[in-house]
Amino acid sequence: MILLNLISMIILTLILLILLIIMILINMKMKFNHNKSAPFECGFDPFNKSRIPFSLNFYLIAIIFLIFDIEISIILPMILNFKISNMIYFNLMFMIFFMFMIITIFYEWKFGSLNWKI
Amino acid sequence: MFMFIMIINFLFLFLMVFMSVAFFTLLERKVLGYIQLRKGPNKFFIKGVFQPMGDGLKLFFKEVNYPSNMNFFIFMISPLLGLLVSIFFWFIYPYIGMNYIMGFGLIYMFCCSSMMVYIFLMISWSSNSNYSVLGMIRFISQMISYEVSMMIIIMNLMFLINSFNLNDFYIYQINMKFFFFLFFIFILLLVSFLAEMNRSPFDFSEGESELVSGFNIEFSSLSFIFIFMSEYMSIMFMGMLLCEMFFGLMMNKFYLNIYILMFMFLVIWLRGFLPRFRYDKLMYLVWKLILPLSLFLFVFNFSMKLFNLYH
Repeated sequence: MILLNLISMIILTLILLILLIIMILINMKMKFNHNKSAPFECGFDPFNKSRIPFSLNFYLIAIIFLIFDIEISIILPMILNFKISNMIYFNLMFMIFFMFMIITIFYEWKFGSLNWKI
Repeated sequence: MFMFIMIINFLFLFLMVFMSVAFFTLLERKVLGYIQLRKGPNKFFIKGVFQPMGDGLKLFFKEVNYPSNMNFFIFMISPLLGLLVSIFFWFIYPYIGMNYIMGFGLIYMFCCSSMMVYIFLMISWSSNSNYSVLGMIRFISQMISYEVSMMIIIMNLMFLINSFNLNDFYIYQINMKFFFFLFFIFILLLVSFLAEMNRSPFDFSEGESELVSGFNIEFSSLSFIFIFMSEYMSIMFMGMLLCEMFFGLMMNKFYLNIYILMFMFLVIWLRGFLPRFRYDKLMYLVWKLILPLSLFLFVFNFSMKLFNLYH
């Protein structure tokens, strides 16, 4: 069954690649022009490089995202473990874990890393 | 022979998804037109029904724009990858035929939706323009923020039914739909889907007024078609997911399509009348409102489930 998925994925990829190659071959070709192939700006050559350093807020958001993503991947197996585990221990573990998650988000809030204006 | 028929079946599904994306664009243009008190496309072939085909052919034969300081290989290949990832979502859609239902379908969905972040990173980084990089920074920050809340809300529902399988939602909700007693979660999930799909109240990556077209500014011809189709395909998929999870529809029946159509109309309608949000408010909305609320509701629903099982 997984093989079947893979085969149909590969067929689809090949079809789209062939489409892309056909597009490159038959599309409209114009004379090369320096100003046209310059990166899009409001009518003049770009002043600076485009790969610029970005604001610290985005970095902090990414760090918090990382913490929560790991916590999500810890919760995911709990969904099937629910059926086979001892309920008292499971509930204790679940509640402590969620308490931890909720405290994490409120700690970040209090600490100020969610504020957009630093 | 059996495998051959199954592969044909999948390819037919993908073909139909492509076709429906084409007509989705026509629906969007018509509805936006009537919202703004004008007619949409109504001239082309039979009252403008075949307008999307004409648009597609026109875009296909257009000139490819090669910006001077792009990274060539990533620039050419990344829209293709975007289209592929957003069509691989549809493997968990079991339509009439000999398809099967994935046992871990929702985990597969999470994997695909996390991959989309990298695809958009590649698309906008490789085109190396100021506007596209600014759009990328905004878009990725927004997307990963809303991914957390989306995953937690979907896990909340998965905890109620104790399964990753999309068809178990139907079996669990035969008598009572989640929509009625989890209405609050429905709204939270709708908002996070809108932000995840980068649709209208939250479309910061392609804000027309400040960034001209955002992350896809340097693309033309077939590459642009690929990016465009991947966005609309993910809208339809999210609609399918939302309808299936909250209304518990039998997946093989026809009325699922009507529900998806209603969701698509809702998304276009929201684009018609809502103004754009403010970026810092968007971040406050997810980190200070939706995420704590969904965590609290997770604990609440879990305890209700336990009460139901053991009282």
